[in-house]
Amino acid sequence: MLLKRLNRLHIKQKLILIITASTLSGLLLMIVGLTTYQQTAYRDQMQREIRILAEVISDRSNAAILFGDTELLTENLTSMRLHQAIILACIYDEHGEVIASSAPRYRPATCPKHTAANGFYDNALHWTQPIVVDGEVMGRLYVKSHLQLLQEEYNRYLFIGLSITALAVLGSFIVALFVQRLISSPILNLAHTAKAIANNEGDNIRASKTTDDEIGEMVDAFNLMLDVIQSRERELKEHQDNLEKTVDERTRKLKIANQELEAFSYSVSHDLKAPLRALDGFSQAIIEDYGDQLDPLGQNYLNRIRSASQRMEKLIESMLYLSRIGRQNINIKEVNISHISYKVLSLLHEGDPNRDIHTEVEPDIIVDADQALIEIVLNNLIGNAWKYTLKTEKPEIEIRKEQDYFYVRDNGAGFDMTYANKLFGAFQRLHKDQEFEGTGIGLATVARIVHRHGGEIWATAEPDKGATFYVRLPKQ
Amino acid sequence: MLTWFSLAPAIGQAADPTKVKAAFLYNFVKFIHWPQTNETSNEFKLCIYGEPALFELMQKIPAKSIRGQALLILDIQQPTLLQQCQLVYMRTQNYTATQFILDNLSAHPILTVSDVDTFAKSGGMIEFKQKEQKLRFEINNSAAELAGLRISSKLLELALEVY
Repeated sequence: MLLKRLNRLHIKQKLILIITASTLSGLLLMIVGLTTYQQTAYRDQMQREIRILAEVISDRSNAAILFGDTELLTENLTSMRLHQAIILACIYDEHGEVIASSAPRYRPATCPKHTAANGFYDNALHWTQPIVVDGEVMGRLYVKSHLQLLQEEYNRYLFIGLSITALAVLGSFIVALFVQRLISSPILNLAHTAKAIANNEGDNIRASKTTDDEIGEMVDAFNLMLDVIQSRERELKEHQDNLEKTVDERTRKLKIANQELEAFSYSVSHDLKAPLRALDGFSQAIIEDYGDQLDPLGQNYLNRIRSASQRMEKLIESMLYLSRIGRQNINIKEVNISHISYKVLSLLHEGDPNRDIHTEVEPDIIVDADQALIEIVLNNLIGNAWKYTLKTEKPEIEIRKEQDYFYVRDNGAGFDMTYANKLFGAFQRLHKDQEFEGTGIGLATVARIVHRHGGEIWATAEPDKGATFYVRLPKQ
Repeated sequence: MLTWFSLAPAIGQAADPTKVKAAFLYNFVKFIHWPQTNETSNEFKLCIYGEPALFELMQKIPAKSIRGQALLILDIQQPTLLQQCQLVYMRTQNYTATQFILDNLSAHPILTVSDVDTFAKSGGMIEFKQKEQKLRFEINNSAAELAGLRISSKLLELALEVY
């Protein structure tokens, strides 16, 4: 509790407190020591005085006690009053009977029945001195002294001691007021500097060093730290600037490359399509106009020319499509995968009504995606599944959701996982055209769409057992 | 046993006056200094002349030394024999008898004590006096000094009169 409160004090107050408190404790200790010493010394002296006096008086009284001269004894005792501390003096005979006593000086007091033990007690000094004649004890002298002087002396010492302490504490407080600045002001200065830097008041702010002690060292270290931090900041900024320049450069180059690619695609779509249409159109004209002059082999060749040119046109179109996806804006909202899947499957059934295929779609698979693009993805994936199960005996397709992804599974031709890395590249085909026709663009398009959503696509398969394509789209 | 003599009768003094006298005689010795002489023997002779009752009483003191000497209580009948003593207590019938004895002892360091009236004034050393029911004494210090005896100031202090 007290420690907490002390911790909350300002450093100034702490320093003043330390200086003042140590002065105070030192002086208090001195007072205790001095008064203790004084009391002991005073008691010793008092005891000595009283003892000597008692010895003298008892010697002076030995004849009187022998010859029964109580007047002289009383006279002797009365003379002891000259010592101001003595309040009572008594003489006892050898049987312990009181035979003389001093008249009480300060207050009425009668001699104790038996001579008391020597020492300080009952707020008085008690002293008993045997009265000896020729080595024989003939009686006793008892003296009782009050300790008023002792008390007075004690009070005086205490008063002087406390006065000195009060003055010294006041003095040390005043000195501490000035001296604490030596320590606290450089620290406060340092703290202010640190605050100014934290508040971003300028890079060139430095703490000023005013002392050559540990605080001075701290100021130096602090300034050095500032230098290091600032130089690191500069370096970091330089690196960042360089990086931005590099990025800008690359972006610019990339844009040029993209423009070139677009120009290329445009020329492909327009310039390559026209000769193909000519090829196809004229082949058709030959079949229609001169078909009867050609033998079946010739007609077959022409038909093959036509289908090849049509296929090439399709390839070109899907290639253009793929390049367009990269630039198209996407509009993401909640999309029901299950509904799209039903639609795709029903279209496929319409195209091949006689096909006996088992399909299963988990209801209400919801993802965040662009409606048009996700339709392309499902068209491709389900279309592939439909296509690659053509030669399967009991074909099955299922679309399900699991954790944060959905998948399209079939039990068709599958593929060798060794080539899985080629799966999503454009114009990469794992099957021959003769087996399953295709452009080799489909999965590339799918992958591109999924990536544009920030999602991922992967597949597992086994030849002749089927393939599963997984799609994970991030939650928006 | 000594206490019988020393203090009780001295303080009380209501008791037997003879006892008090005996105690005084005994205690005087403690406050008086005898000169050292060649003949000093190992005995201290306390002689009583003319008061057999006192002698009887003092004889009851158990054998005891005083001032480092053996205490001897003697009942002396012949004044001429008193010279051997260190302390002489005398009870004489008249002034002439007193003077005779004192003359006899004058050359010797012998303390003379008596309760004869004007004993101290007329050359004796210590004279017992009754005062207010108490036994007191007068001292003729000049006579004692002449005899070579030194009486302690403490004793002189207690005397009613010192000559």
